[in-house]
Amino acid sequence: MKIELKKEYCVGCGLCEIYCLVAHSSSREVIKAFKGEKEKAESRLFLEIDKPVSFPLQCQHCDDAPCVRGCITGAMYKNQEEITLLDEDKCVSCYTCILECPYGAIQISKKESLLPIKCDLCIGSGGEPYCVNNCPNGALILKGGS
Amino acid sequence: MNDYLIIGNSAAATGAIEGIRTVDKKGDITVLSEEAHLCYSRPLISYFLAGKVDGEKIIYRGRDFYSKNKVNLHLGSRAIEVDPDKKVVTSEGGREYPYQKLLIATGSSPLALLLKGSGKKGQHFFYNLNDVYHLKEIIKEGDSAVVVGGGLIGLKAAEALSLKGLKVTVVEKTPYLLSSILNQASATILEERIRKSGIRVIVNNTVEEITGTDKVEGVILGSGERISCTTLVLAAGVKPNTSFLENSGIPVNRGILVNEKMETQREGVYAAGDVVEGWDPLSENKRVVPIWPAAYCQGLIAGKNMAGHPMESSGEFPRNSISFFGLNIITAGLLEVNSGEEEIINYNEDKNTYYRVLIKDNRLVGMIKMGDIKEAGVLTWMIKKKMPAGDLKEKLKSGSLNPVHLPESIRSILYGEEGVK
Ligand SMILES: Cc1cc2nc3c(=O)[nH]c(=O)nc-3n(C[C@H](O)[C@H](O)[C@H](O)COP(=O)(O)OP(=O)(O)OC[C@H]3O[C@@H](n4cnc5c(N)ncnc54)[C@H](O)[C@@H]3O)c2cc1C
Repeated sequence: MKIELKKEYCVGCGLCEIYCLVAHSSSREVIKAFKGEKEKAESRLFLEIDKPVSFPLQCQHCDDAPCVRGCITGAMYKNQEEITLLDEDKCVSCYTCILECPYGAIQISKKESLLPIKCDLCIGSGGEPYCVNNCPNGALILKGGS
Repeated sequence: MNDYLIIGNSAAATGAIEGIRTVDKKGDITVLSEEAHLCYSRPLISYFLAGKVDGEKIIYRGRDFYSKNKVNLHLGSRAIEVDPDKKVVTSEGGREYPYQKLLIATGSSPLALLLKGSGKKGQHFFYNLNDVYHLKEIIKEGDSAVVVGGGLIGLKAAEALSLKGLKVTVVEKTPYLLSSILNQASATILEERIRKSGIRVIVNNTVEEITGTDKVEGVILGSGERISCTTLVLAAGVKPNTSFLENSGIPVNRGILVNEKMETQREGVYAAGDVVEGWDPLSENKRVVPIWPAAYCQGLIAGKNMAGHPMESSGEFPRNSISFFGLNIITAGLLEVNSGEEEIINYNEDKNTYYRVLIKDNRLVGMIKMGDIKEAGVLTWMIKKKMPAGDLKEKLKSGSLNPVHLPESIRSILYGEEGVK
């Protein structure tokens, strides 16, 4: 399972980032997520713009994921649906995953934990990934799996 | 009869077990491990010493990894001889292990320096979990320690000892720290961070003698300076563990020689990890690449081939992600600038970031990123895939390159079928 990008449809509006943050907030509501939560959530995809090109850097949940193979602690793993996830308790923030990810899709959290953060396909948020559901141009499409 | 026998139980062995089990769910797998521990993350021993991870978290896979994968694990069992003709491995104590396919994944060991006064209590290596258990028992806040070697292992030991409240001095023979992965300019930034954190760094100097009667009391340097200490850590390089192969007929250079399937020149015998000398596509030479990701991947490839599923390695090149006192560093590929190579450097003193890439024949061949390591993997990939970088020079100068900046010809490869193959 992964989110496929139709880059020709992306206009760089940034809603994917906004809704990714919402998906990872505790309220999962836009206003609260941005204004009303003690610790503001973070987006796990990273919109990049180099005009005229724009698209979010986002985990591709690779089959032969170099971040999983390279992880020195065993914290980065594949779940049964082959989604690439991070066991945050096991991770020591050595950032070997950042060394290995060819997509630049893993970045360092701005929170105190300094954990690497990446797309988790909204696994804890229920339903389809928020970025897919909220992209106004249909530039992000969920592929594979149910 | 063991279908699969693995000597060693670390990154390469784990990769091999997982590789075998993707192909063959049933065959017998036996692992001989000299260390009496489940596979633990070796790079985490400094975190363990500093108290940042515990004895549970350092275990690489879950405790049930061996039962889940139906592995017969023989801990505390050292192989002393391999006979590829008879297909038998003998362990210390004389037990024989017949096999169909053998993997040698014995890693490397720290070099024992022949120092005057060696062999005293308080002298340690920093390589195994047991080294750290021993260190934990004897070190006390306020003690003094000397670390011989300013490479990755020595500096990680120094950092952990310093975090435990010891007064630490690092003695490095070459003119600067981490000289196998940094250039002088970036090493200077690192050195400053390490000094500011309270560690004394001495370069261009060596430890010549260890003083004390039965316990370490201090060291004498080549310069004549005496430093008193109760703990001495030797971290002056490593060598592949191949001595038990002397009579095996398995060709060994610096490491065991393997082909792209991680097969040695003896039938049915494979090798992976720090113990091998495999193909480095950048230097276009066989070399030992002693890093965890390479060991795991080589093990995985060996395992699949052992189980009958052909898979080839495209080679491994040096790359590291490490941090010292919060300074993040990522490096990959070649380090030295030779004629015909171009260097792009971006140093921001205020932000404490340093960035350097090396271009040769229009290809990216090396990188150092310090302070800001964002998107470093894009460069690792460009290096690995030998992508043309000439048109990207302006972008590279800015210090940041991500997939949005790539020309469509390269981006379509990255996001295509062959992207991460
Ligand atoms: C302090 C430290 C920090 C490190 N940090 C990093 C890092 O940040 N990133 C990175 O990529 N790499 C790092 N490394 C390197 C990394 O740990 C190695 O590349 C990796 O462990 C190699 O794995 P391996 O499976 O080849 O062998 P090893 O991990 O060396 O394991 C080999 C095992 O085989 C056993 N063995 C040897 N001979 C025999 C025998 N005859 N019979 C039975 N068993 C035997 C050994 O006891 C050992 O347990 C670090 C290493 C150290 C020491």
